[in-house]
Amino acid sequence: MTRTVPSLLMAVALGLAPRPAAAQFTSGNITLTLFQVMEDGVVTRTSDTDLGKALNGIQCDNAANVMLNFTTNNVPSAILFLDLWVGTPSEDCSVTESRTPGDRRICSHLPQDPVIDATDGSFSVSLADLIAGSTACDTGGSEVSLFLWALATGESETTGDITTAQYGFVQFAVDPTPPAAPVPNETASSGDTAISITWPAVGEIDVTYRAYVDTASGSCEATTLVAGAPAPVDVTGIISRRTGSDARSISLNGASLGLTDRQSAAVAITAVDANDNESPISQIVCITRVPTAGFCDVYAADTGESCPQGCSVSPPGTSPSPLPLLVPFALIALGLSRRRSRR
Amino acid sequence: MIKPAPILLLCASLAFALVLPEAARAQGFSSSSWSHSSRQEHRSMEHTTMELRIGSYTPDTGSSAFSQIFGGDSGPMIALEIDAHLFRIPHVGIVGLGLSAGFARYRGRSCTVAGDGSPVCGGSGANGGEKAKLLLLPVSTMAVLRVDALARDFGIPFIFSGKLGLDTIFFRSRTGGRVDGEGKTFGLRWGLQVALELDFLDMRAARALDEDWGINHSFIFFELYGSTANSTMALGDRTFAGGLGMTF
Repeated sequence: MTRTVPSLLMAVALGLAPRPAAAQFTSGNITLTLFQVMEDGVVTRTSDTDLGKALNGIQCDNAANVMLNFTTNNVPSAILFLDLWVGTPSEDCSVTESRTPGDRRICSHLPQDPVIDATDGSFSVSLADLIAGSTACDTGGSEVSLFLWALATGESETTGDITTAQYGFVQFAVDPTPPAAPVPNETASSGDTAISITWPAVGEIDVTYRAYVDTASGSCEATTLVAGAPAPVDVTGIISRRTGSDARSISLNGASLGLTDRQSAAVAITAVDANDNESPISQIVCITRVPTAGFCDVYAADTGESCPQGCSVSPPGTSPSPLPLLVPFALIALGLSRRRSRR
Repeated sequence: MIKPAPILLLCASLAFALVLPEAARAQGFSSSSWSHSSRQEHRSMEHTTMELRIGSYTPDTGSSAFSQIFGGDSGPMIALEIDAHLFRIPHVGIVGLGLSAGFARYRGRSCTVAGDGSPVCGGSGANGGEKAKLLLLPVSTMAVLRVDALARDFGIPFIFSGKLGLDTIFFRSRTGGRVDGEGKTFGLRWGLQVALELDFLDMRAARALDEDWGINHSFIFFELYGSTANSTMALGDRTFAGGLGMTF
């Protein structure tokens, strides 16, 4: 999904992270805070950074097994369960008519009324229940912001008027759409210690890229990587996965990949957006390890004399020392300061 | 093979640059002490000349290696030179000791290797292999004669300079992810320069520069120079550069 800068700013402003209530709604006394996301019984998001991300396509596909855990504060003491509703940022579910059965109802009622944990005031709700009344998880759509409203009325589907002491809400977002697959600039690349693959940016911003390298097949034709297919989930064994930054190139060392001379491997690139949606894999780039000759190798072949090795400006593998360039500048500074100090 | 420690060389140059201006000051010469008194009577003493230059530099390796990998890449070479003034020869010019440090980087593509291990190049850098880079850091210590009699005695703003000294070129060659050669090579360094002093463009501004910053003169120059650095690897060149200079 392509996001413009303003829309991204809005997404950040309206994201999933627990934050103050939206200005257009009257705040209720009850505070809701998302503190944990569990998938298949395993906690997958707990940090503020992760909880600030929108729920992604993978979680949508597994919605029945994705549980969102919330804490509550200021729930009236006699209340044992909550009546949950979901609305868009323009739908105020504290207003009676928003919940009144009929054509004018604009908020969605969740089928389950979660019980509040007596010890810590927490409750859980599945993603499947949260999105039951919306199209938020439909692939192809853009990121959707929703509000979860919790009503503490003792009713399972509150239709009457409520007071500010009886409700609270929290915002969350759903982004089911992965970025487009990157399109590598090369179909084949060769080299020895720095086999380069480059690609232009996919349309979405705030994207990182992953490279999947299949070295076990021994050739590019026999690879298990298939262009357009979902990214491999199991990256152990024959597939090695390398996660890059937002750079749009990767440099692979043939020796480090275990390639012998003239041996090939298949490489595929995927793009991953800020909400961990991963694109399908790109077209396959066939890399081949071949020995290369640099300036010193050609010089040695031409002249019969080898380049010096090791007696250098700085230790091998580090940048040359800036000392030769810094000394003149130090002289200038010193000279000027001495001159001015005599005035 | 000559192997002076580069740090020692730099320290010696630093000491020269710090001590020699004191000696010059002890002599008490300045651009006003013997020049057209009506034109420059308020000039402060001169101790140092600084030059910032840029120009093409293509190492003459004595082989096709450079052109095969880097094609027509000619740098540029950017360098800074500081000359400490030792003494003035009346009606001739200034004798000084100069220290210069430069930087040039070249980018190209590596060659492939045939079955017998020999390089196979497409020529003129048009290879399909990995990225190749060559970094040169030349450091030179030179004796400098600046003939400024025309400017000082007759008001003709041209200065002619000659330079001769030792050149040390530090280098590193990188191919793909490996460093395939690095080190330093030595040789002689020479240079012939013609400079145009800019003071005549605005004498008042030139005077203000001197009073506020101690800059006696500013000038632009063109320099033909060369290096025979080839003690361990031939990386010298004969080329030209232009730039801006200032006398403090």
